[in-house]
Amino acid sequence: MTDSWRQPHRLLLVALGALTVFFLLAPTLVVVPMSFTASNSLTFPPEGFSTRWYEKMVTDPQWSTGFVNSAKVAFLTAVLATALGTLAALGTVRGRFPGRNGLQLLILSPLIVPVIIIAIGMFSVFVRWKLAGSIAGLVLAHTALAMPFVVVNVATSLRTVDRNLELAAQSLGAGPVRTFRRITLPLILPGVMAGGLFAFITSWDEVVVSIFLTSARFRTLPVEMWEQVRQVVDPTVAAVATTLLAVTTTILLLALVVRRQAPAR
Amino acid sequence: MTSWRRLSPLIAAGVSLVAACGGGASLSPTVGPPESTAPESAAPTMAPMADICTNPPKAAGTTLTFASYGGAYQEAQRKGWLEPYAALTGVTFQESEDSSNATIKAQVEAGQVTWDIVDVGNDFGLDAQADILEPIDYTMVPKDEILDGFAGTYRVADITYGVVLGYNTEKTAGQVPEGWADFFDTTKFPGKRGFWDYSAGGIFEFALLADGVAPKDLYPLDLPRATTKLDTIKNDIVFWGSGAESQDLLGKGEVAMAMIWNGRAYSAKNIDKKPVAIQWNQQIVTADYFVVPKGTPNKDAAMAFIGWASCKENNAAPSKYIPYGPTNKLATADPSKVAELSVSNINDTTAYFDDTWVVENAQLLEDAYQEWKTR
Amino acid sequence: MRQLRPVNARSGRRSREGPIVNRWALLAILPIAFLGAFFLVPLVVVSLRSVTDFAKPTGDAFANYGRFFASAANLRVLGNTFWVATLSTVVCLALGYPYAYLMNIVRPRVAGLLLIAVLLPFWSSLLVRTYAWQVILRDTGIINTFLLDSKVVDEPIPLIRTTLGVMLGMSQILLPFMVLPIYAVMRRIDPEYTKAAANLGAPPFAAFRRVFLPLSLPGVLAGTLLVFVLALGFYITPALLGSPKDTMISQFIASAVQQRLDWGIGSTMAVILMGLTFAVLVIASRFIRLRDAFGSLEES
Repeated sequence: MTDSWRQPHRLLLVALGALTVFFLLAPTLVVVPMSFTASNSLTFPPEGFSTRWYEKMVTDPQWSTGFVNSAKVAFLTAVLATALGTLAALGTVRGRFPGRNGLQLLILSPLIVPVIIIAIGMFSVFVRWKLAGSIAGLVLAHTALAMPFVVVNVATSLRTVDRNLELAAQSLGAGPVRTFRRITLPLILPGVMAGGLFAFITSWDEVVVSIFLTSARFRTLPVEMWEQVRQVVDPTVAAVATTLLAVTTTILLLALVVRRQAPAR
Repeated sequence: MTSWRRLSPLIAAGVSLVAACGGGASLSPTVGPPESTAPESAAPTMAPMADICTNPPKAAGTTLTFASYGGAYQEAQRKGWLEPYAALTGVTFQESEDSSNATIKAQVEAGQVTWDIVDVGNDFGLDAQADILEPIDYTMVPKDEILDGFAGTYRVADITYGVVLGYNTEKTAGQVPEGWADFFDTTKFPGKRGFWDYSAGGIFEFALLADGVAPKDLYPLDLPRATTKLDTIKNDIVFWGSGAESQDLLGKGEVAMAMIWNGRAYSAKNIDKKPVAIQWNQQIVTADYFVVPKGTPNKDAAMAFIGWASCKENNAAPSKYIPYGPTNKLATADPSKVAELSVSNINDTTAYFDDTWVVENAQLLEDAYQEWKTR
Repeated sequence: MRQLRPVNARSGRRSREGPIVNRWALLAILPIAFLGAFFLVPLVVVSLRSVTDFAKPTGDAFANYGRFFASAANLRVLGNTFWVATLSTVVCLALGYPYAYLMNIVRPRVAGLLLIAVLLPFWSSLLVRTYAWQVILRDTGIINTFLLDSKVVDEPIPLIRTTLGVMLGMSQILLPFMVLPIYAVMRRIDPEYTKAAANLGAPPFAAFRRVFLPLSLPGVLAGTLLVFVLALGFYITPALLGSPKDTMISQFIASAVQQRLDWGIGSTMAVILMGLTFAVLVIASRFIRLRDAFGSLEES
């Protein structure tokens, strides 16, 4: 095995792989050191070290309210999407009804329909329903976008649940609700939690639908960043980008760890 | 493992679901009334115009929502108009910084008008928008004192500005571009050129001026001639999407010259301390306008404010903070800014938009623009 | 998952004999109603607006479609959308296949790290990544500053506002969607097959080409489909990194609705984009099971 790694085509493969890792990670990570620059403009390598752009981000009400709004929307989205997504996974994995296969595709379709279409559609409907520009509207919109990730994660853990355990519980006299609460739910909990965390990230990073459904009075961090990116290129944007990345990465790693806990793997 | 078969069930499910929802009318969301419903305003009592200027009707308890374009611009409007007016009348102002024609249209069509006074660009507020705007109440607004052509049925200009040729003096190495012909001459003046990415913002007009068309002969625009002229520098053009971006591009020298709003060039020079200058020749003098969305519950209070802000005593107040000029012929701008105002630099090369033509032919302009741009 | 086969097989048989609808199905009603109201209704409304909203009164319900196809710019942007999507797909395939292959042959621990290297960007904000590319590619960005400072060039080389810039940004964002499905399929290929081929005297490359490659093809098709379909709908990245010549249809839709208030043409373009996306999926579904395409995301 060790010999085969010296073969030219293997070396080439490893080199290409290393290059791809670099291509995947490096361009994004370049923002992190740049956000700590002491100078007024973005330079690489950064000049000096300073946290002033983070200070500016925290003290500037536009950025700080954006941060708070994003966190609120992402949290509420995670809760709602987890509840609905878990129900959907139970219904479509365990349920038997005509058109079930199509329904599973429907649940995943928010991932595939071009997001700009979803955005203008929701804008046009939500304005009429008086939901545009409100936190409720954005949470509902993000929930539709985030649900697929919950469904996929819960469905995966649901399929690993040994149904004999449930049958055993039922034969010992537990009703269906009790069986679900005591047997099924603990078994799928890692999947549910991972799904919720993915839903949080989906909302936290979402920008296109948010551009249409927010207003100047109620803006999320990515929307504020979108406005600023096209206007001034101030290192604060790099600090915001780093903050967005840090939150996403933390939650992603958390989700991966949580999912590892799945008993049936 | 479940197997999702082919795609057809998706479409079938989608169709049947839509049918089942009956268009979704019954699925109305469970959300309370909109937060923004303004309180029933006590309609201000009518006052003769002279009174409006010095002693506008008291309206404590009324909340007016003022939407403009944010930044230093809206700050100047706030300090010049909103704060003094609030102090005089007791009106409370709420502000939006994202004025957009789309939002006005959406609010009116949805029957949910939350903006009372909106500052819009020169491409809005004409007869084409009769359905979504309240006519300006000229019993309260001094129409005769407003610059000719700047007071329409549905809009009255609040601020004048110039769309000008701005240049980075370092990039032009001491040479002064005399007008748009030099802008299009990349041999004499190397470097990139900035244009606003908008069909009705002036790009065609400037191409024609550069090509030798006289300001008074601009309309109807000769679009093929304009695009042919634009083709000569197409690869050197950088499009900007916002005033701040144009200020940044020109200040940093990423473009040597740019079509830019005079206030932005002023800020690049005086606030950012960048080597930026304005060539006033062949500027287009235009204005931003106040409009009132149709169906606002605060129509009369909004008109009273517009009347007050249009008076010669008050109209020039924002020019203390930003080099945008008054629209009232009798108003005097702040002395420190007079030289920097578009209206102070009018000469026989100055051009004006034909807003009516532009709005009526918006589709034509847009098609020609996109056709040229993506070519 | 494999240990569950017996139970699954049994429940499968029961489903064939049991009632057509069971009680579990009721749980799906609420989420489906939710998606119907907040996802499907908006799509239906957009579709309707394309035949009801007109810039000028007209008797022809399809006037907006006529307008769309009458404009050379629209057709060019539509063509460009397909072209950029194709290019991104090719770049992703060229980088993604070897990467997935590498993941498949290295030790599990290394494979895990390589997977994290895919998942981190997969989940991190598209806007942040596009912004990072902007910082790198600008005329005053990292690459050009470096080249100018080291006197390699006198003028900044054009990187931003070029097709190259869009390609870099889009392929980086889409690459995980190529790697994950290919890797998922490769993992299921029994290594004994290639070993057997080698034992029978096939040189390594022939064994790969004749045995492994065909077996991994479903993953390739799934990844290609996923990347292509997602690329068709890109908006942020071409808007920030591309030139007007790289305009994609999503940008046209956004500017029609936001700048020009032209809901008629905006929703018409939306319907056309949606139709083309579904057409691609329908055509693809004749060759691959869509479950492979979507299902691979489960592994993420």
